[in-house]
This record gives sequence, structure tokens and C-alpha cells, in this order.
Amino acid sequence: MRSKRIKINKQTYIIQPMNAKDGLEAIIKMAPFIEETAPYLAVLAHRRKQVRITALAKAAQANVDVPALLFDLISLGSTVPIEELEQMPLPDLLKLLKIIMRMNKWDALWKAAYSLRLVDEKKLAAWIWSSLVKQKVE
Amino acid sequence: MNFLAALHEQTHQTVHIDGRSIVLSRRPVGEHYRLRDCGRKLESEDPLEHLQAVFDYLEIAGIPQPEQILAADLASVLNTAIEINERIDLLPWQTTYLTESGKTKNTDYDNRELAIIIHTLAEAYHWSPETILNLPPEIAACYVQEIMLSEWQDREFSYTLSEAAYDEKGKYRPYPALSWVVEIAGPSEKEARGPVKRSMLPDGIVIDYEKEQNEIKANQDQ
Repeated sequence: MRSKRIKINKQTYIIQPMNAKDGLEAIIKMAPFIEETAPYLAVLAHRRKQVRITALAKAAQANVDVPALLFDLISLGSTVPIEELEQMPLPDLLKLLKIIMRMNKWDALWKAAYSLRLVDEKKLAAWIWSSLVKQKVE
Repeated sequence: MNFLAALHEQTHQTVHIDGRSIVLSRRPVGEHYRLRDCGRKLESEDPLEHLQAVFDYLEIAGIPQPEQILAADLASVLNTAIEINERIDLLPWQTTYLTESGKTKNTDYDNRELAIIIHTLAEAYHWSPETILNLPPEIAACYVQEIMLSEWQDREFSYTLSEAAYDEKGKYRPYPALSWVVEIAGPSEKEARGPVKRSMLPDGIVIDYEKEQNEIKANQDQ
């Protein structure tokens, strides 16, 4: 698999494809965060701006740093420097994350991680709940 | 354990990975122990160690570049590899020889069983470690057991020729048997015959002809 160049807001990003081992390693690293952030991630890509703002506010109240989590998730699947990610607006971050997830088939990776008993049922359920892949990003 | 079956049976299975067909076969004794070691790590609580063990296991099992396998195929390929390489029959020396007293000794170390196999076969047959490591695991275990038994018989023979084998009255003192050799008793005559229903037993006094004949024979001998 070759790396992919994508353009978001006139900015080009290079996304590195992951092999099964790297992908599963990324799943293991993200698994502990997913459980606590699932409720916020689930609505983060909502088409209504107000819902997104409320989700972020609730996350802040619960001391969950959602942008930081998004940075972590994106860093696991790309080589985009963290300084660049910090400059990106939230919808672009989500768009980037969505592309990374689709390219590396994170849904299949999560299922494989569960089959291999690398993650438990609770974390898989949290991931399915928080999955941003199936939601539309504005 | 059937030695002949172990000698001739070729265990292999074809797995389809990303459009390629790979034939997985049961690994020889050297890799068998590596797989066993890896299998223990598959039970690890640490998911990263567990993941590493998955890819190590697949590589030792004979799959080239396992990290390139599609994630969706991983679990089924791993299951096939484990199925082919799982340990079937353990011989008595393998189950009890290393833990004779049930305690660990300071001379014990991880995977000592493999070292025993190499040492025993190399000493008895003068085979190179490479030859031994390429034997099927069951065959190697059978050979080791036969060598151990044969050595014990030699020692017992030497013992019978020595004075230590007899007490002051000249009575033979048997040589201590190997702790893992146990005679397997068959079913007793009564057990083999099965219980007889009370209603089917004869009424009155039962004459035991066998007992009577034995008594007559004993009297004649005197």
C-alpha cells in the first residue's frame, strides 16, 4: 500500500498506510481512551453545530480533552506534526481522522483486535458507539 | 500415543491469505518448543506483549511476513496454526520427570525439556543438535523415553551383580524403579465379569470346584 496525499483547505497531508501489526498496536494504544470519551466522540461529528458545541462543553466539564484525543488518534495513523494539527479547525480534524480510519480500515482492525482478545467487549462496544466513520462530517 | 502414526502422519493445512495459498505444516521439535513458549505469551495480560506473541507465533509457524496479513484474516490464520501445532500426547517422563518431587530445584530453567531431548539423543545416538531439532516432537519424546528406560535397565543389571543388591540373609533388594514408570493394572476378574444380580445367584450352598481342586493338588504335592 502506498501513502496517500490528501488536501484539506488547500493544505496537503501525507497519510501513511499501516500494516496489520501497526494498526493493531494503534488500536491497543487508543483503547483505554475510547471508553471514557465515547459519549463525546459519538456526537462530535453531528451535523448540527450546537450539538457539537454542547458535546465539547460537556467533555470539558468532565475534564476530557477531546481535541487532545483527536490529535492522539490522528498521530497514530499519520505523520502530520502536532503543531499543524493544533492549527486545524475541528471539522478538518474530524475529516482527517475519518480518512485515516477509512484508509486503514479501523473498523476491521477493531474487530480483529477483539477476535484476538487484545481488547475486551466493553471497549469494542465503546468504539462502535463512538465510531465516527459512519457519520457525516460537515 | 501411536508411534507408527506419529512417524508417518503429515499434519498440514492450507490457509488462504490475501489470495495466496500457504501450506502450514506441524513444526519440528525445535520450533515446537518455541511455539509453546510463544503460546504462553499469548495468555499475557499486557495487550502489546500479546500482539507481539501473535506475530511471533505466526512467523515461527511458517507464515512469511505475518504483519502483512489482513487484520480480518489474522484470528483464523492464528487458530489454524495453533490447531496444527498443539501438543497432543505427553509421555510420562514429560509430565513427571521434571517435577518429580513437585518442587522446583535451583537447577531448573525455562524449556529444560528441550535441553533434555537434545542432550539425551546426542549422547545416545551421537546426532547433531540440528538433526535432533528437525525431528517431529512426538518422535523425539518417544526416543528419549526409550533411552531413559534402556539406561535404567542397564543400571538395574549392574546393580543385580553387586553386593548392594542383597541383604545379610542373601535376600534380593529390588533396584528403585523410575518414579514416572507406573504399572497399569487391568480390570480384576470380578470387575471384568461385572456384578451378578442377587436374583440370578444360585440358592443354597455353592460348591467352589476350583477351590476344591486346588486343595486336592496341594495335598498331592505334600
